[in-house]
Amino acid sequence: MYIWVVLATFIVALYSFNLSHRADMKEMLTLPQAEAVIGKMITQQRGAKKYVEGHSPQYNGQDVVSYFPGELTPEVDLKNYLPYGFINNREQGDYRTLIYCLDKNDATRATQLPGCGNNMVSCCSDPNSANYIVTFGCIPRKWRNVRTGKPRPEFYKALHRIAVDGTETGYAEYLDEEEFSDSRNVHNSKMAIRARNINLISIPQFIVEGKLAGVEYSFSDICGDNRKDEDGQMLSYGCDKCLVYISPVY
Amino acid sequence: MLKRKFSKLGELGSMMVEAMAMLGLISMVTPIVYKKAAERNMELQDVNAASQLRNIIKAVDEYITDNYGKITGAETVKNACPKEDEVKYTDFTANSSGDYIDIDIAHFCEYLPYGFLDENGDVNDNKIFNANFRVAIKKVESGGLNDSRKTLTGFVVASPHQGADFPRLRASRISSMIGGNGGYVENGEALGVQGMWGISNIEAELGLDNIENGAVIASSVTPISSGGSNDDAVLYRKWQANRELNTMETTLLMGASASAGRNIVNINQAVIEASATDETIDGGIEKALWLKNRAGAFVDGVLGVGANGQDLPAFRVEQDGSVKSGVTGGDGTTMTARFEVTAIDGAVKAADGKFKVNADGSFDAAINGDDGAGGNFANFSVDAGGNLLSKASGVFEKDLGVKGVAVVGSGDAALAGLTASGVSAAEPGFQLTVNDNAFIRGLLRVKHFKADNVDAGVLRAGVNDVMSNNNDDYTLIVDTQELSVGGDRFTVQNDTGDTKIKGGDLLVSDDADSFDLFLVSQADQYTYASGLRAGVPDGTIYPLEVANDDAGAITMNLKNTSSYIVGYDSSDGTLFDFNNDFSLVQKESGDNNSRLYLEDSQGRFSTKDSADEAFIEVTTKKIAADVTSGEANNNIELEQNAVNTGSADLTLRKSSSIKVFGENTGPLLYIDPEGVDAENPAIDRLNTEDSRGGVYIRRGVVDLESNHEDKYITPAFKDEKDKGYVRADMLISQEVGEGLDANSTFYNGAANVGGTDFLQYDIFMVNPAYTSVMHDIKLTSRGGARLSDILPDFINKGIYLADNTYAETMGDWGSMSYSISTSGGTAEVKGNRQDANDCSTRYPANPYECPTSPWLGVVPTPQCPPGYDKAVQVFPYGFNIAQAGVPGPNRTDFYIHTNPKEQYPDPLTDNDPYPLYFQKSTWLKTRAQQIGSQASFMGWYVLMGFVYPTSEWGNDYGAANIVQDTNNYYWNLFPVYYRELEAYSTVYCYFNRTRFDSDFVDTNYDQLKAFRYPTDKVRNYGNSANKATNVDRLDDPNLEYKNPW
Repeated sequence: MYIWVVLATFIVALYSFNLSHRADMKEMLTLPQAEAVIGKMITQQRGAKKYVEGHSPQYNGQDVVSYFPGELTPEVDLKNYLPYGFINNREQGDYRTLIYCLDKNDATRATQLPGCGNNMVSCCSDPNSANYIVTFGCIPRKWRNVRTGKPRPEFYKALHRIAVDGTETGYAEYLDEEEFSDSRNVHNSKMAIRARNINLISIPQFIVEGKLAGVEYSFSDICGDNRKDEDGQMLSYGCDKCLVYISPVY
Repeated sequence: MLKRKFSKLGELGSMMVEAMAMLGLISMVTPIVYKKAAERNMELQDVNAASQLRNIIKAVDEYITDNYGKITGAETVKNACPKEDEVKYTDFTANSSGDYIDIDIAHFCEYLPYGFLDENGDVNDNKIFNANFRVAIKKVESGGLNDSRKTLTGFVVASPHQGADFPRLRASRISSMIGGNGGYVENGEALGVQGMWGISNIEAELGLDNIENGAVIASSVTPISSGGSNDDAVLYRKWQANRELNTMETTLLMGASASAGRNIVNINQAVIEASATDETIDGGIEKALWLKNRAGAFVDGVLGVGANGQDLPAFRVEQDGSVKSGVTGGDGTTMTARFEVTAIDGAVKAADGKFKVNADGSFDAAINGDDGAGGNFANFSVDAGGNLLSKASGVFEKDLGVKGVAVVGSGDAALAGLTASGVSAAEPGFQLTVNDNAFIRGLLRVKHFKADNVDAGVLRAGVNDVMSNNNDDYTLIVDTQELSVGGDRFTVQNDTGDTKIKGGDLLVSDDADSFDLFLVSQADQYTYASGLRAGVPDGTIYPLEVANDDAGAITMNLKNTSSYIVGYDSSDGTLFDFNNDFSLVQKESGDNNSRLYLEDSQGRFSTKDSADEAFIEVTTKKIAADVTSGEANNNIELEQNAVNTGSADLTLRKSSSIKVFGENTGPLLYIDPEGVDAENPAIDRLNTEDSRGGVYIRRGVVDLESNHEDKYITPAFKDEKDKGYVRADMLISQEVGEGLDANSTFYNGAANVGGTDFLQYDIFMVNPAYTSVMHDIKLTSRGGARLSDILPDFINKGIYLADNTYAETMGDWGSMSYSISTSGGTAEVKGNRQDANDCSTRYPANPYECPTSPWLGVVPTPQCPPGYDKAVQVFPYGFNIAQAGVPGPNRTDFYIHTNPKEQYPDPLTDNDPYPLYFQKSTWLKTRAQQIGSQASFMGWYVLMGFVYPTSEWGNDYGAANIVQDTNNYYWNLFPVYYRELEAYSTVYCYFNRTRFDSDFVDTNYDQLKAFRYPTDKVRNYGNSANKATNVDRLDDPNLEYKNPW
């Protein structure tokens, strides 16, 4: 009998090592890892916002903005707006940052403003232009629920901690029929941003459906309508779930 | 006893074993427990280490934020740290690349957590990391095209006590717990968490040398840069049209004290609305703007320098409430004002006393520069109507005396509103200038009036000279531009009442629609204006001429339908004389009145040549184009005059012709039957003896209406079949054109028949396509018989010879499949076992030994017109019915064998006795069976042979290539050899009337049951009452014509 008592003691001792030795271990160990994933997007988006600011009349010495619809590459466009040493490898699935300049008169934001080109005044300076900075990328499988595919709670929490979630940041998801008719779906869009404290921030339609000229992959290619082929199979560059940060430019 | 002893020993042994096992287990598990406990300790240490680095990098970030300006401005940052209290950021420019600086961590004492440094500024001892924390700041300048910014990023490197032996697993774990800005060093390269960031050479890029592998590094959470609206470190808000977005709902404190405070500069407008609601105003709302501690308000425009060297402003509010401006001296407290608002009575006065605004609103102005001491003032006030009143005799009057120049109005000084300088009759020039509208209610008298634009109810000229009373000048002169008079107010009269236009020409605007010229006829007056003359001044009739010296186009426009030109007869009878072409032109669309109308019957229209020969002459009735509105057609009518009963023919002479053009939807030529005599043709030759004058219709159709009356035509057929006929003695083909060779269409090769230049057959040529749909043809060479009656219903399409040439091994032909075999350019219907069982194949030495199948082969289907049935007949004509034995040289026996298909020796060559064969059945039968159906119908296979009822011959022959027919008989139970049977097979196309749904096909005709009574004409079979004559029978009963034409 003694041997069983001793054996049980050791088993309990070994099992106890699986218990967390600090109550906040999750915050200490897990959340920083999730924050690192999210922080990269936040940092890149903030850099893009600074880029836009630097190309606005207050700083660019012009009467109109000098940015255009398209992609802001970290290695070129955002080089001077990102932390020193920032690494972005988009070929490996890192985040992409795009600028969309949409027609403000179109309440659903389903159309671009015409006439954009680098040799003329940017269409983004048009008073009728609604400009958006969008940074997006796949949420790694590690941070998603295996069954539902949605982000894990730790990811939600990390998002809540380092980003102003529920306003511009969250994961993108298609709406069901009931949500499509929701009054919060101001852009009458198929997709919305979801986060911890709010579950529907309408994503402008063109961002979901359209392609930006001269851009290898738009939001629609990776996170939106064009991420699957005609047979409904996910393309190699498509994401099951996307982390997205959309900032309107005022 | 012994048993219990052994039992005790057994218990002791078991306990020993358990003890041994327990010891073994303890010895195995205890190290694991210790190892696990140590790992947990390390994890806790790592957690603390990560927290420590997060705090340090946070301190560095805050330091950079607070000192961003000095750092980027290459200034020196000082603090109260015991060590390294000063860092000169000129070092940024001192290093080789000029963009990083290595700083002792002791310099951040004011930002680091309390206790991190000891009292000497050194780092306290640490469990994992040694005290040599390294800090670097990296500066990046954008140098971009439009945006110049400097970004600072801080880095902290902590080296573990273990140096390069520090496990990478722990370094990585600490890094990941720091967050996205964590990392560790490997081979001089900083590896950021999850590849988020990295620095390939921290010595070269950050100036941090001698960093061992495994050192943990943390960078700024976010870089600190100028102009970043998202940086929490700076207060910056962009301008927004919606200013609520930048509303500040708290007190703005510019530093803890005035000395440490900051300025607010570049204010465009400061609006103060004192209201102590949420925040108490120190001193009350009357001190909403409080310049404290003798702080002055300075209105730019320095007038002097005070005793203390300070600027003296041009405007100042004194402590007694008076406001002064214009400090001229003193030390800043005593002022000599140039402008003063007196605190006592509120009057505003100039410092020299020459101008004063009194408390009641009136103002005094010194007269002739008096300083006021003598009371030599002029007093003014402004009444409620805005009038400036001057004061005289104790009351304010409205008279305003101006001596010298008075300027009224605003605007450009050179164009002041009202300028008057000295009224003098001798003074030329403009003494009064009004730059805007002036209203004069009474009479304005002007001696000499010049204006470029005058609006007046009555404008009179030539009245009394206001200055000289000279009444002689009654002149209204329009020097250069036009004179415009509205309505009918233009009157020109001389003193005798005669209307005259003196001298020159009367020019009427070329805009004719806007001006009417009325010429009033008087007895001795005429108007003479550029060639327009009217009137009878001396009794002579003057023609109205429209002359044009420039030979340009002249249009006389008669505006409405009642306008006309009247000409009077003259001595030579010429009413109008046109030297040039005269055209009647329709001016506007829809105007049908462009016609030359000759009234009454005497009117005539003629053209003549020099020999007075008329080309077109209408002397009686009438050539008219009826263009009455609403009529669809324009007609030219030739009508016989009731008076002159002559012909109204339209005669074309010589080579003239009538040509009708146009895209009409109806006929081009109508012939009114009412105008054609019943005995005369509608078109005839003028000279009936002449062979010329035929009717030629190019590529047209002559569509003739029926000549029959309704009573002869069944109403249902009238529209479709009711046509007239062409009656002619001969219908000939076209002539052979010149050059047509002998191989032309109708030439049959025979020479000189009808001449080589003409077609051989002078017959009526019809289009074969339409001949084929003719209802019927009567052949007079057959007594007028209708072709449909003499055509056969069965058309023989082929006769085939069929004989038995296929071996009985073919088996059941009913199960054989058929297909069209193509080989050698031909197509043939074949069964799938046909070739293999050809007797020539199976019995190549002697086919005549081949017992054959009754299957003789395939007869292909005939090619028939649509609707025709396909039929076949099989006629046997050669067969060997029965042979009652074949007696050879030694055969005398008569033998009946029960199995006639059993093989026997050759009776001709074998010497053994053989029985006599006797074929009991002579039932010869032929049959044809179709192959395929509908579109895949290929033909028939033909059977011929002898059949034996199974009722008589039993059912035992199935295994011997004998085919039992479905009709319960065997075919060829006795052998039938090669080519013993022959038959003819004939195929037909059968005109099956019942398949046609047509009025022209007698679908009820049935030779057996519904044949037509021999003398019936109509389809009333067997009713002799309708019998017709033979002549009647020649007509088509379906057409039901009753007149035999």
